[in-house]
Amino acid sequence: MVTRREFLKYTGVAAGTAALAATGAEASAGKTHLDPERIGVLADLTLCIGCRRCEWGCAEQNKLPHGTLQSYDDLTVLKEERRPDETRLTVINRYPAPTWREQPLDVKVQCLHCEKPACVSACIVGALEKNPKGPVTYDAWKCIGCRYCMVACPFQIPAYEYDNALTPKVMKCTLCSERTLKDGKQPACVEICPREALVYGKREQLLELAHERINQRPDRYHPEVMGEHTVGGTSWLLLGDRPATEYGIPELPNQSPAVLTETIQHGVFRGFTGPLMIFGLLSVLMKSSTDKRKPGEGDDQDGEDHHG
Amino acid sequence: MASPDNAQGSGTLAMAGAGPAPKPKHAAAHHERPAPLFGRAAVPFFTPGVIVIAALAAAGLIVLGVRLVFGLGAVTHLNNQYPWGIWIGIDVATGVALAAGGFTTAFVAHILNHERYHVLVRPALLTAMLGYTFVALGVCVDLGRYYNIWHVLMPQMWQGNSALFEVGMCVCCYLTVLYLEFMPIVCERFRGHVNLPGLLAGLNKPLETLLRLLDNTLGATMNFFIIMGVVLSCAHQSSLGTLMVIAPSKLHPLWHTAILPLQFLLSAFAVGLSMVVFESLLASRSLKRAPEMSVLSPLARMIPFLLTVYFAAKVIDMANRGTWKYLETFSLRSVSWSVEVIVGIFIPVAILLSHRLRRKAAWLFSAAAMVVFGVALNRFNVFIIGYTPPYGTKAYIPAWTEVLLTAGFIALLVLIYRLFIFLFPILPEEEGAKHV
Amino acid sequence: MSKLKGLLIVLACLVAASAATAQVMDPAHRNPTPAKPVTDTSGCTDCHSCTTPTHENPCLQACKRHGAQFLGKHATDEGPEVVVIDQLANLYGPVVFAHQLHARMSAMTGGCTNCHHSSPATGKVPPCRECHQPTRGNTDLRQPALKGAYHRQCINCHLDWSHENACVFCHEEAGDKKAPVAGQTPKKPGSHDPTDIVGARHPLIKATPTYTYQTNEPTGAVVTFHHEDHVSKFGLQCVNCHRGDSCRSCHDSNGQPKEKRRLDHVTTCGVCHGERDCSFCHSKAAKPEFDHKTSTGWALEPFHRKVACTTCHGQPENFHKPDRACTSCHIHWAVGSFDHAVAGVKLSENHRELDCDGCHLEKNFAVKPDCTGCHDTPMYPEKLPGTRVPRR
Repeated sequence: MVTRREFLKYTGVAAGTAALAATGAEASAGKTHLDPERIGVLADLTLCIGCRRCEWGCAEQNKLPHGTLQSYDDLTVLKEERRPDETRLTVINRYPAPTWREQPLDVKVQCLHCEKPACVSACIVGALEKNPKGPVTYDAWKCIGCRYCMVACPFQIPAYEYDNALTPKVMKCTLCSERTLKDGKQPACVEICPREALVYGKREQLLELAHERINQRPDRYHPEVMGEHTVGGTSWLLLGDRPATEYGIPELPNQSPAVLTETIQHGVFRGFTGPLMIFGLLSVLMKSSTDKRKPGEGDDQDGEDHHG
Repeated sequence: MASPDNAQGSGTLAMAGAGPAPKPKHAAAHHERPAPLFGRAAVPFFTPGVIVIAALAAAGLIVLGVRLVFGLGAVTHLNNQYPWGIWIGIDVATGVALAAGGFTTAFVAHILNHERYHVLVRPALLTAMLGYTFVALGVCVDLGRYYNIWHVLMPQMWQGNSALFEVGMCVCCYLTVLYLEFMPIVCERFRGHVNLPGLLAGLNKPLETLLRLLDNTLGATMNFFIIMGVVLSCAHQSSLGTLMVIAPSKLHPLWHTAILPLQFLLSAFAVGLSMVVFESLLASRSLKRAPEMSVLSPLARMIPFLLTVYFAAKVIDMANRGTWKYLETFSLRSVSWSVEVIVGIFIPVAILLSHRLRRKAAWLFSAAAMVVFGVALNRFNVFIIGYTPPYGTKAYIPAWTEVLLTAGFIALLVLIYRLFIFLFPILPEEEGAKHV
Repeated sequence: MSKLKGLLIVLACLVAASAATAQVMDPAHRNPTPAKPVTDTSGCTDCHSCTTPTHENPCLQACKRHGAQFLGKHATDEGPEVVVIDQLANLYGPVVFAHQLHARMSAMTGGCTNCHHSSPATGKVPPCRECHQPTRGNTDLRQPALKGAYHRQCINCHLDWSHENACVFCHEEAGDKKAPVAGQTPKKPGSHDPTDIVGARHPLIKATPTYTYQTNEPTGAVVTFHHEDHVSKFGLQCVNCHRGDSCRSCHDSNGQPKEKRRLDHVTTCGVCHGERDCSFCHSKAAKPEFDHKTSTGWALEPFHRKVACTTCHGQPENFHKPDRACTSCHIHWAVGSFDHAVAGVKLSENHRELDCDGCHLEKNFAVKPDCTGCHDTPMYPEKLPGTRVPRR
């Protein structure tokens, strides 16, 4: 039997929860803290010849194990799809030409530096941060090594030094933020790129340039710039001759995955209204149930199995 | 307002540890007061089974040592594709779910104030306390830089956008609350007869004062902590679901949904009560005590309702997203989902809805075990089976060392649980047992 | 019962609320990929107004490339023969760029504008380094620095046309060869020797020596075309026949299909064979390759073996049949002026004054000389009219 009191109780919970969902939707319309002058890199994949100079330059810059520049002339590694890992923050993958008449597409893979990065949203201690100027940076000192960033990244980029027992780090491209933001230089990979398939500059200008190229050569380029909208945009912009899903980028929506979780999080916890409401509700419940069951009154509602 | 453990007045509670427990005033209470099992139990602390468990625990601790010296790579099959393995999927996610007995029992016994269930509060509290302690330990083992765990508590590093931060904070707070809730039991055991040997004898007085102070303070504020515990539990049980919402392209559509937190919360309600039933029956058997059917059967009556609600949240959401199509093909994931629902929901609901079967210990135990299995599998599915990263095809199969550590931790938990019920007044003193 | 009802109410509200949120945020709502617009995918139409540009009619138009202007008419050999690119030579040795070779190749297509895309309409054509800076800056993202500019230009073609773009194709390996020795032109590995260009327009091509075509011609279905003969024996240059060809006839630039090559045989072959009847080419079976003796009855052996066809027959476009008389070519040959020793026999005093046809009847040098005009019995070859000397 539903008592009037109980009914009110339940509808109260329902209304409260609905209200929370509503505030959550509000919270998703986040303001951006990003600098309109923020930097990025335009990778014109149709210009890339897969020479792997960027792999070498990156390893050199980040003091990762690497051979001589000549050792990177070995292009047989392009036959298999590789992924960036804790020892190399960028790799080139070659996607075969659709027909013998066309060219294969060489694709540089590294952290794309999302505009609204899921890894940053996931990071429990703020070790990963989106610099307003563009790069997604990593502070190993703060990191506790939970690897939630790796779970969150839709591009599966962050790698982990599992074999480092004491000071393992999350390894990913940082857009050479030391070089770029502090010294005003270009990222190591961009600087070494012999064909300037990589162009470093302000993201806005790069987008303009990308669309200019597409308009000039609609035959050469796929009309979409990868990274303009995908997962809310990325600092790296990729120009290819085919849809991004055909050169190793997963099919992703235009909204950052972080938006949904942050909406839920902030919806429930904004001003602690949610927990406080539940707290209040439970207090009332506890009080009422205690009052109801004055000594002598007994358990009258769950009368099953009392005496076998 | 009533005190947590004893609705009949907390005043007497503090003095209860030593002498014969005063008879409860309430007519509805069928059980004796809780008491430590030492000297009273029908079985000794060490049995062959316990020794096996202790060996397992020791093996787990050896793996832990190897992990600390040689790193995660040495003992796990984790890789850049699968950053989270069974230590997160089982030790943490499933551990949190299965420790839900604490807050669900607290809700039923204290907040809804159903007198008869008070007897279950202490075992459930102990389970929750130990469960969460091991969840915290499990997290630390899995953390690459475990020594930085304190960063989570530093305001300058707070990261409110992270669901994991929310889980971490809530678990920290809840663990504190659990320890506080457990303190009265410690006080009950030791207050009035702190008697340290030799040189430490000088500490007897201050300790005694501390216990009294604690006991009195906590007695007055316990209701706050009980409600706090429920709120914190709801918060992090659901946030545990939010964790995987951030990976829509990786978590299989059978499980990924915006209401994953709600589903986690609802399933936590159901599994919390089931776990209490499961554990109580298991403990009765192990300790050769009579199963507490008169309490467990009515408690189990709520489980089908909770499961139905959970199932409805699952099914309505699936219909809404049109993810039925993933069940049409025969795959690891569709099978795993089906097992989760059939074994974890359908069969136990059918059993527990039957008035007759509910009152039979074997059936009740099976049903509770199935719910526990189902929810555990759900967590495992969400964190491991359903995790389908976009690159690479190598599946994650846990290393034997990973499994050993998980098993070892569970064994250690069981061992400590046993130790606690022998040391502290957790389980009620059986009338029959006294005469044995 | 009561609990179930209550819980269901709660649930209904929760699910409804979450469903609304989920619809907004369901990741399954992917961004639809717009269909690739149907455009002219040739890539040639940037600079050419027609789809099949040829040398005669390149149909060039103002390039859409950034800042591109038309060059005035510049002859290919106006530019430097070789350009040594050493401004940035630190990793590799300097690149010796065969400028004129490339200029000639370009002449078959877009001309100098292929590379000099931003040149003024008149006056000097500026070199790359005049606009492209040696170091990269951020000022104009459109303009690559010098290194990028070189690589874009060179690799574009080397990738598209020859599929050859390894660094060492142009660069010498680094090391001690970093600085070129003064006054010594570094050898460029893999470079084309400009003299190798057949017809001065194209690097050497390995063509199939013989083509056999099946036709519908009733009088003779088989046409045998000995390409090798035309090139090496008849001395034809590529452009003699292929002048009208487009580059795209052979090259698969920009993903374009190789066109089916169908030279107009009447105009192409007819330039030389116009006066012949059909059976000259069309026959019942494949024909063997050209042999001067079989076809004309006049063996080139031994003396004319090394003589180019054009020496006697003139340029192909102006082909003529010479008289068989030696003097129709060797116009200075006369009794007294001809040194018979070239034929391997130095004539004795008695024979030196004789007319040629005194021994070589009817001046047919292919048959044995006849001695019976003076001598009673045939002397040759037992007795010679002089002494044997090495043939020259």
